[in-house]
Amino acid sequence: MSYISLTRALLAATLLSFSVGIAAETPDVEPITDPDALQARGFDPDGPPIYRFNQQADERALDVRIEEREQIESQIALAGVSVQDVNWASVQATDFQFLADQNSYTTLGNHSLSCNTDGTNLFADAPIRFARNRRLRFLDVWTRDDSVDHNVDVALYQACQPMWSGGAPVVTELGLIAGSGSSGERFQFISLPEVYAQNRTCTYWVRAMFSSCAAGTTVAVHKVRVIWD
Amino acid sequence: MNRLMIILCMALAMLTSAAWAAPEFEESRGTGLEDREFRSWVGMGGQPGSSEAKFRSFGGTSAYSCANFAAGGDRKVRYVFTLPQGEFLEWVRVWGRKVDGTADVTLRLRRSCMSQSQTVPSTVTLSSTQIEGNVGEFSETLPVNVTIDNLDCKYWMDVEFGPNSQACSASTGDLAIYKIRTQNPLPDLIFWDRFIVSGSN
Repeated sequence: MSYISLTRALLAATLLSFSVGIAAETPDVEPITDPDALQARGFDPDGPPIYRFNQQADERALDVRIEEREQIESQIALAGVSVQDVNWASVQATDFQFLADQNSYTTLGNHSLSCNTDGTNLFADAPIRFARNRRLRFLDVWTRDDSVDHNVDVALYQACQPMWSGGAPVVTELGLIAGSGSSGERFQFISLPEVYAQNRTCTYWVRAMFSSCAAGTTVAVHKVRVIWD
Repeated sequence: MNRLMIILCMALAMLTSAAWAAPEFEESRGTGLEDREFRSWVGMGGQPGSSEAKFRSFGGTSAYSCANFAAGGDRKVRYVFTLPQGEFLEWVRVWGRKVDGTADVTLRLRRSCMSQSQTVPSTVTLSSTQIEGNVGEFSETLPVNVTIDNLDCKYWMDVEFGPNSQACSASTGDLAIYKIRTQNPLPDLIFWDRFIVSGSN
């Protein structure tokens, strides 16, 4: 093989490698820099951006999506070695904490989180932990919305920091389920992007985001759950 | 021969690209800590010591920021955690932010135990450290080295933002806790990942 042919082959290989590699490495996340969008999520409008995945909303009917999901979950169950394997984590009302002291809120008797009509803070966080290295699959949200004018959104966030040193957290929105209209008692879920729990450097939390406290207990978060492989 | 070389180079390139495209799988990257388990909690996962402990979340990142901007009040927040029975807790690491003019922060890993024969709990500090000065974004570690006993004991990280005779900070975000993380050895090697090959599940 001539020197020129070998060089061409290596060049072609390198170019192909880079082109495929770059395409695969193109981050599937985008920064959220709009101050209004940051503020609507409870972040500092003048602070650093947070990130979110470019994921198309699944507009199919809920029953169709649930049927597809059940198939996926049955495959996950087959992959389990032990029946004691836990592949979920959930949080309920009393796991949440509003983002400032003295906020007026209630958890009612059945673990439903609402801010009271005189509440001033619209955001409440609950830490959530996952098994190491597992792919996160679904974000499940149960809510009540008996208000036409007010809603509650729920999002799952990841914050990563250096392994052994200080540093401001880099926040990624893994999924967001938006409330709308007056849907009553409701279950919603979304498929999460291909993300693996990185417990060494990252930590996770669920945020309930009320559009207003004026609705009082007519808008509530019952429970949030994450399913992983 | 030339074609064979080209095909081999192409195959090599494809394999390299596939490796680059593999999803992040941080715990398996050969850093020498694959046999360690880490669990973490965001700052807002703590419980204020009382209703007198004023706080704000900092920047929306679920950090817990002390908001006792004047003397008085309660300066503690506690991170109670439950680890699996019999696990050996090696370290607890805390991430936070502390700027000039803020109170010193004391971190204490505490354990409180009561057996059937006890009528009052016996509480000890297993490890402690203090963070002073203008350190900015910090990460502080506490060695613990204790076997978890959930039958009789509870464990928590006690964070104290200075004495209540002075303000803990001047404004939100000056003194904040981002995250608490525990570290312990994994008890077995075989069942960590249910035989799932990295990234293939």
